[in-house]
Amino acid sequence: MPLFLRVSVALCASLAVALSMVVTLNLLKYDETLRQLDHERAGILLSTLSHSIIIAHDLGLPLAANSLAEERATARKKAQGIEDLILFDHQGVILDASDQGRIGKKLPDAWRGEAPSALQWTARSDGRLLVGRRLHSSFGEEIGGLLAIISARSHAGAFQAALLRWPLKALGILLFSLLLSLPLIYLLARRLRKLVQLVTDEASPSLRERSS
Amino acid sequence: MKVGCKVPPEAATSIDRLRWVVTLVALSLMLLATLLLTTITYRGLDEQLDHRIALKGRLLTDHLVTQFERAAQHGIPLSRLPDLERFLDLARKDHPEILYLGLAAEGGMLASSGTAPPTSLAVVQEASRQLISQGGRPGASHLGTEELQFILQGVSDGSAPVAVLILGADELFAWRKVEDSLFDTLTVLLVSLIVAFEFVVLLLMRPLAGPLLTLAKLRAAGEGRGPPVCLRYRARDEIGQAVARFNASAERLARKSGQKLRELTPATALDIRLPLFLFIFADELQKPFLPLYANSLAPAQSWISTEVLISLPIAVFMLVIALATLWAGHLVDRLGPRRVLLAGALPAAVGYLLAAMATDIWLLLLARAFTGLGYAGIVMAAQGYVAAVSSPEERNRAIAVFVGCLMAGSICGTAIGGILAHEAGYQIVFLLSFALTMATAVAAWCLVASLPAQARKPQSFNFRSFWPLFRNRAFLILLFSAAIPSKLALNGIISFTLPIYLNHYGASAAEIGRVILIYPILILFLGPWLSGLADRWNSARFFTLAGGLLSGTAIILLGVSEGIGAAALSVVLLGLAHAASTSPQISMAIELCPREVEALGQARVLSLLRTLERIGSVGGPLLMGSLIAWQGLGSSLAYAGVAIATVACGLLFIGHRRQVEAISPSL
Repeated sequence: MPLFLRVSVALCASLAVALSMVVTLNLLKYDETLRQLDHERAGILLSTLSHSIIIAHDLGLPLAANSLAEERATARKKAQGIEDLILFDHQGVILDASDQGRIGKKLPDAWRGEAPSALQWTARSDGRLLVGRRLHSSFGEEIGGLLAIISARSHAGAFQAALLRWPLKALGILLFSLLLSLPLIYLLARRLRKLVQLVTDEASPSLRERSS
Repeated sequence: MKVGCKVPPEAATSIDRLRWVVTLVALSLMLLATLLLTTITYRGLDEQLDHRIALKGRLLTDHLVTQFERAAQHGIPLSRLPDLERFLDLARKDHPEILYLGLAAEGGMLASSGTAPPTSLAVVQEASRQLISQGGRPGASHLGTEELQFILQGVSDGSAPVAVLILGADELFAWRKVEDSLFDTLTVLLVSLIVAFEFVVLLLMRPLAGPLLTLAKLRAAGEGRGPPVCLRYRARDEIGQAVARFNASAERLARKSGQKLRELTPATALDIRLPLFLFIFADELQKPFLPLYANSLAPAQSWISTEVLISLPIAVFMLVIALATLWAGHLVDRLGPRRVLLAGALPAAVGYLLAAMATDIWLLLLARAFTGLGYAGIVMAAQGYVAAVSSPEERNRAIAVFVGCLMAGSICGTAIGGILAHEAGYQIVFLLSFALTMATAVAAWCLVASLPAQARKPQSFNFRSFWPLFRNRAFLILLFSAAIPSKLALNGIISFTLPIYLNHYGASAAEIGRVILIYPILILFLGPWLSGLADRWNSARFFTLAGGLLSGTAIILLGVSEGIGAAALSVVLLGLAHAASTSPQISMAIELCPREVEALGQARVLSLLRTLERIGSVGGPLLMGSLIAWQGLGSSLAYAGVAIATVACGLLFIGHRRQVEAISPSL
């Protein structure tokens, strides 16, 4: 491989490594920001819901008598990606969920978050983001909780768009940088050739001297 | 085979200059390209986030309007609601992108939280008045200005709108995220640049510099009267052609003189760079979270306190390194660096695999012991290779390559390890370390030349021969006042206590990694400059003392203050302290032990110092674990800081003694 090509390939490969690392790490950060916004949106939704449930509970309506069907439909419309809204009692037994098969079962431990005393928590299960909120009556007694299950697809569209677009942009920048650096690479290769000449000119005469 | 002569100065200068030009061109290009890409990607982020922030803003206005409507429908006038501003402040608190929240009635604003430009506010208030006067319950309407994206939603008392809730979302949220995460962005750029630079070395500098330097050395070899030498290098470029011409001349000479032609493999210190970088990268990945991982594996009930138990993985790792280093040095002499490097990758990889699969802390300890064994072998082999392929004139530069590689691997590993642990979990990071160690072995197999084993008989490590050093009071003061405390601070505070401290204040593994990262960056960039300054001012003792005192102060600061910012400041001070004092410690050791250096040799005196300072590496985590169990996090840090600063004052006694010695002959 001629020196000019070798220098170009080396710079191209190094640039590709740098740019792919920037794209990967930025994608990770973007994913985190999108997830955080999803989590905050679900938090607002649960906060609104918890107000009405607590007021109804304080007025004497048992928790099990609450139905979230209407709220679920509204939530799906307003907060993209909400897959389900679950109401559970203080023992973690599910009272209402869109999947009827879940009702009466206990909430899996992995869904309850790591901090048992936090008012609101997040967890991840099977790629889905879970946002939970504990319900306390006006007397401070824990009466149960609400859990929003956010689909893994909620920000998949935006993320996939970035996944397609950013590497293409990186490729464009790579080509642009290489074009920009061609004169530099040419000069570098020329200097290298001169250096090779210098070193071989210095190395060979001593051998010639000795052989003569 | 090594060429035992130096490179002619004119060729060395040209090769040096070329190295600098290549580095400069490559780094400038990479910096420009990565900055451009970061700017462009954040523009895209801005567009995407706007939509999501609007969605969230509508949800928040819905939530607040529902609550205001509940009051209005019960006949409570909104203007009489108590603490309305505080309510809006609280609603805005957890949403940094919501810059303004206000409740407007027909007569004017009832309450507001946050700030908005007066001109935009006047427009929004006018729009609110119109919404109220239109009657009926309007849905959310949007109004965009240069700085804020407003959402307006009417509050109805059941029959007619009585007020409008105004929410102002930050139009420049994505850019503010960039500003907030400036350190993150810089970390990403730095890591990308370092990794890409390693590629430049691998693809460009190593294949060019190796044969060129060897050719230049052969010139000097040709001038002697030894047997002719040819170079084992095949490539179709200009260097390959030059080597072929040279080899043809050498073959002719061999035929003519009847001498046997010697074959030479071009080997330089750059050969070791990629394997070493990959291995250090692999090993440093665990740094931001190892104590936290150990804590997750520690049993709830144990005869050892949890804090001591979670300090053991670092202590055991350091102990195995300390013991195995002595043995690995002999092994490198007997088997050659390449074999030891390849063999060292095996226990290291097994260690990472065991760590990923560890179900309890004892298995993690075993895993770290295996990795420590591999670490000692690989690092000693790399050091041995660097020493073997460089002539005495090149040795300082070759050691700089070695140290630079250690630091570069440390920076990248710590940064990426934190991010990965945060995103994918601790086990995945250990599995990545395993994969990288395998890549180390492959890189070593392909790049590192097989050098013959040293002919000399390996010297055994005999403590009795070092006895004069143990009787040198100044050497002992240096050891206990500076060398051991430095390692204690590095492994006891930065590697062990800092992750626990930062986790205590809610930092994620990625944030812990970014804070720890400050340390190697300062050592890499300020270390050579500060040690140069210490040499120029001939004040190694002052720099060592100042480093010790600053180190103590940094740890006290960490103990008495709270939060991630305080931790970052302490790491900056610790980095400065160690950058200033590590190299001067070596100068001091040589200066303080002239007779021992003459009798034992400089290398052996320094190797004893380096071996004994590992007492701090092993003891640091154990000591801090015990102190934390006994006194709690803050107090133990304060005590450790006071102790380090106090023992550093011991260096003052060396000055006094030497002064007396200097004066007494004249008396």
